Amino acid sequence: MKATIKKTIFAAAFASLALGATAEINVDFESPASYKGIGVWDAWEHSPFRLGELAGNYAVTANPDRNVSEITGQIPNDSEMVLGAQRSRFGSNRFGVKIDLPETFELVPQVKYVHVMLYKTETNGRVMLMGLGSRQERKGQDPYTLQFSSMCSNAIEPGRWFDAVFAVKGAGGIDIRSLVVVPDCESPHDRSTDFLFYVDDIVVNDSPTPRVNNEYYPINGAKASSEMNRTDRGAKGIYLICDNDTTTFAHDQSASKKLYADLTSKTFYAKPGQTVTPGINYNGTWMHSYCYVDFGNDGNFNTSNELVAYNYYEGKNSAGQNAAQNPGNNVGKMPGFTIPADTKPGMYRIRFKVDWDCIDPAGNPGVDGKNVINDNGGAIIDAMLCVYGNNVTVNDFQLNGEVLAGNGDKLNAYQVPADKAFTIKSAPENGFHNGGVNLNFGFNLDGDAVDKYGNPQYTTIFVPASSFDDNELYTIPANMMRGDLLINGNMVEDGPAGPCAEGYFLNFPEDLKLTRDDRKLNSLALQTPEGTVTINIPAAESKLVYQNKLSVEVPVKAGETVTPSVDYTGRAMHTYWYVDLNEDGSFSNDLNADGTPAGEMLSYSHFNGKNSLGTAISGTPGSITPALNHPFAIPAGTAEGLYRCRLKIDWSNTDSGGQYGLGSNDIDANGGYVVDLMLHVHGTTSTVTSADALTANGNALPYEAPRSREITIAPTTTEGKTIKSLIARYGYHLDGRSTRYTHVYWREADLSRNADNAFVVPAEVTDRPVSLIAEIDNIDGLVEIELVNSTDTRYDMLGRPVKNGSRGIVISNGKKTIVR
Amino acid sequence: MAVTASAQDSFGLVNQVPANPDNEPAPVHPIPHPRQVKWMETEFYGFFHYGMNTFTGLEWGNGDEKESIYAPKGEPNPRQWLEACKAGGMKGGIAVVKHHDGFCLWPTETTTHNCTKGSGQWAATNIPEKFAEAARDLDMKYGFYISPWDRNSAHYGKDTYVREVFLRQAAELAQYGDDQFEMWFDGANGGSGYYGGEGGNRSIDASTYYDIPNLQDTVHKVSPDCVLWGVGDEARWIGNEAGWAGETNWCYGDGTSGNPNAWYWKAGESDAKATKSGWFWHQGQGTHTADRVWQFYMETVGRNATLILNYPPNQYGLLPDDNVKVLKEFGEMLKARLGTDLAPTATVTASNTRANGATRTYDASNVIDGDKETYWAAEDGVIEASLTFMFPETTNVHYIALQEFIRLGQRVKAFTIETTTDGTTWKPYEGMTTSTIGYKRIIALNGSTTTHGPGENLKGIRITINDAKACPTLHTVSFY
Repeated sequence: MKATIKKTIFAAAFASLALGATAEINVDFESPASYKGIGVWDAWEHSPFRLGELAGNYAVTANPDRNVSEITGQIPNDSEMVLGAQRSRFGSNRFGVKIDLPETFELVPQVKYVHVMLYKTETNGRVMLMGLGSRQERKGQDPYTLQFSSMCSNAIEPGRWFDAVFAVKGAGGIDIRSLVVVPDCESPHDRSTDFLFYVDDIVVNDSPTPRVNNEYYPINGAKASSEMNRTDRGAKGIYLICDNDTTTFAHDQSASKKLYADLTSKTFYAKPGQTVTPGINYNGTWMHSYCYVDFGNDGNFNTSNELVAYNYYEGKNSAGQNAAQNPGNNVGKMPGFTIPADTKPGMYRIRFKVDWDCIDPAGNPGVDGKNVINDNGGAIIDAMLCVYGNNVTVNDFQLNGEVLAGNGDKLNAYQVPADKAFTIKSAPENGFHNGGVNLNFGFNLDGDAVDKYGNPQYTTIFVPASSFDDNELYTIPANMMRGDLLINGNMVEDGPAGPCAEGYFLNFPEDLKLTRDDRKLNSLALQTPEGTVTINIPAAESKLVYQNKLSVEVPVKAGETVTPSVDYTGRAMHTYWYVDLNEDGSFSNDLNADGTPAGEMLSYSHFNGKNSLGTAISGTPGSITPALNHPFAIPAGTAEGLYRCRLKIDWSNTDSGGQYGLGSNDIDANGGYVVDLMLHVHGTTSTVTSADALTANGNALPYEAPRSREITIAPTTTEGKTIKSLIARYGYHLDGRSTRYTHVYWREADLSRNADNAFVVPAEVTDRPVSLIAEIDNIDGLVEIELVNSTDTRYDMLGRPVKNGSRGIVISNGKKTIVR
Repeated sequence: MAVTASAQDSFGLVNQVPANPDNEPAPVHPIPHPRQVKWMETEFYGFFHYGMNTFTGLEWGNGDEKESIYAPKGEPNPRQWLEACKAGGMKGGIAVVKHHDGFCLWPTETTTHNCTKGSGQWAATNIPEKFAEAARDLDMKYGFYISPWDRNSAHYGKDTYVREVFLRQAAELAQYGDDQFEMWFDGANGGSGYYGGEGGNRSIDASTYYDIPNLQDTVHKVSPDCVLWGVGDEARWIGNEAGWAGETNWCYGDGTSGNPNAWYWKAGESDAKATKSGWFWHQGQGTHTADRVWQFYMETVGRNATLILNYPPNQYGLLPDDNVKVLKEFGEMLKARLGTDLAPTATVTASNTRANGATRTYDASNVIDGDKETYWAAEDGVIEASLTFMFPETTNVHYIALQEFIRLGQRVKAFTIETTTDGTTWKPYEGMTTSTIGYKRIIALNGSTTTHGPGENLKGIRITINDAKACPTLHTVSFY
């Protein structure tokens, strides 16, 4: 038996109700008196449940889940009895369980919130609530006329109790008699089985806040979908001032339209005991700012000691000073706060919030529908705060060699000062060479990169071998020397290395083959203002998922547009084009909120319902074909160079390494490809340089020579100088290693003389920069000549051969004679 | 359906499966209400903006116009409007009987701002009554445009307006026929106006003010087949007033292409002007040619939308002669181009066919039997299937029209077309986007929505459904 009041809903329920809400309806199923009737209902007129063919399955039953939540440590729903129902696959997408309320409630123009505790055994399908009722003055109206259909505002996952919240309103004078809870507002045509779901504790009030907290660092609403409902206000970024040094992370809320932004990939840095000043760049007035730090690292912000700064709450700011209710243009400015001196070095979630006179870190839920954070144009932005000590503990871990400190010390809990650059040395064993290193910096380096609260703990970056000098030394910048550092050396066995061995990594073996025959890449092409380069894939090689076409260089200038195309046999796959613009051996796949590229994935045909033009795709992912490619521009200002370019044909996945090993949609099974080639971003000239005293076409160096033209080289002065030999190094990164990421970036050529005995740089290599290395003889007068016992050969006074007929020296029978 | 149940300790799944003796495919929800199917079948219909603005030259009257300004120079003749449109291949029409200025073209009891107060012997002509009578006589569908926004009414923006004015006006119009097919509620809502002399701005929350659920309930009780446009989410604005829909066009969601993941059926209607100077008649307004109307048609009806094309009556209450002439030309063009279906002359085979039911077959031949109640369907789980049509003799074909059996939901996501001139070698079609089908998709073999071209002489046509939400269902394939 139940107690009269027996429901235990997690404390958040009471917190939210305490904010002025008034419950009008409370259906708890603990006794027959708490509801008038139950049944099933379908909005589809020809539903088998309306035609009397099926009866539906529903009953008041025992609560299937009274377990403690891992997140809250509380029982989300401790009810004994709940309403159970069967979602039939023969109902429509608007089929659900109907609860006849013990008393009606009026639908009015002001928004009310219906809260329904819901437990689904399956599916992430959308959740809907329908209200049935009639107008008060229409006596003849069907009392179960559909009056509203409302989608749940928060995410509901299967296997846990959630408080599903539905906003409802109407013209007024409408009595709602029944509610229909739809657990899966999706077409069931593909379902082969039904599933059970449970409903409990229905209340109607004025609070949009879910009664159950099912996530860490919650907000009042769904993080992914909750919208900010003002166009005249919005956050533009967050910042932290530390020792007069401001770190800012931009976020354009006007573009995302979302209340919440996850910037936890961004990290602020501070030390224990340091005073810092947080702030929010915000467009608008009459709002207030709040900052929280989860120093307890428990997945929540405690307002008693983790609200670290605010500029207005009940007339004061966090410094205890009187504050203006309207801060004017200073909405985002807050007093500073001090990181507690005893703070343990680590990663901490920091939250920035714009709201109205409200310290709830989840945002103002509003009272009587007023001052809801969404409606006021508020914002909630989470980032990370790295609190670090004076020293960095450095370790290395790898096979087949070591990574040492630059001075040769072993890196075993090695202590180095924070904020100071640190040099390391790669020391591979015999038979191996340096293939670059992964630097993991942050905390908890032997654990997961993201903890259970969703807080990133450390960041990993890859430093390619080409960034090391000839002595295998590399200096880690000072701004990365914070927290702890774990170095994973990548020691590569000597011998031929694949094109993705030292960067541009693949998620699959380079020799992986397609496992289906109906899909095939025939060719790809890139059209630029300079023409079209087509790469055919021979039939014999078309089974290979990875296609090494790095010998192909597509010429293009900075600022020009590349129009890619693909000839592909098959359907329902997507194209992704990447260019490693920052030459770091990887392709970033960041996107702006509108889907347009924010990184190095410059073109794509489908991801997350959009393409690289930012256009929402109305069709399904399967309606997109690989033939669909969107043009992309090489950013103006891109330095001349060779850039790795990658085409990936894959299924709805932006990882440049390809989808593989995730259990479904593997790239080989889907008929996908990864094709690497090079883009040659060039200018209109070839820069000729040399450390030697040379001229090019008679011009001093460096000289901007006409591109792809022969260049004649001579010593700066012919007086006492002669070029004995001349080498041209042509390509890019001419001062570094010739190979980067296993690809050759520059080559050398021994130059020969032309008919006039001058050294010539051939036109074939002057489509890119050239560096000349000369061996020059210094000749100070006629100190030695090779005697040619012929009067046909004449020499000048420096011993250089001159034309016959010229003034000079001839040698005859060992005697030198001046000829005038 | 609701019963009181007693608590039970254990609750589990039970096996409840409805009988399906006809082996019909499971619907892909959302599916249309039968009234929405009938509405889509109307395809192409007229829009007649006539009223106070016809005499003021305005497009949005302020509501303070003197009733006497409304002075028809001849007897308004809705029959002439509908006859012209019928000659143009239209199946119905919607008459504007109250625009934002609040002037009513029937003797309403809700306001004195109506035609009975107009000037001259023809002012009191009851437009909706005559319009409905003419439509029934001509076997055409009909409906009315009634503006929710009323810039004349003192009640507008107050609690009394919806109850005492708007709903009563809708009820008065219902008396002119229970067979209306569409009621048009313009989206313009609130702003400045006369408002009984008070003037100023009045704003309302359109999501609650008009009490749409109960307006819908009332309209459907009186006119069961009447679709509400603009409110009630039964039909959608296509997203432009330029007469085109997306080549990909779902019957759910919003805009030119819809949204395949929306949860209720809301097919698109494209509203466009056949004249060049506004929705109401204006001196020297100019008229789009029959060729331009053809483009409207191909880019709306041919893309799974309906087309409501506006022809405004003039101050005589008649469609001008140049409008009538263009409509006649277009009607002949439509008949010449899409009047004779060549598909029944072909033999058709399917790569996959669903097993017959007790009283229903799913044979490929169902798509050329001229019966919209029969359809071809593939087996469950089959979302790629083709229909191959072979002509007994080489046949000149310009257009291919496809129609899904949308009563079971819109399913097709992508299809391809191949043609053969010798019966053995097949050439892929390239031209228009071949993605969604829906109620109707018309493909021009020359890829053009503007030119007719010479057509192609073909021995066969193959249509392959490449992707679908579920097993495809087509009720008609036509060749012209």
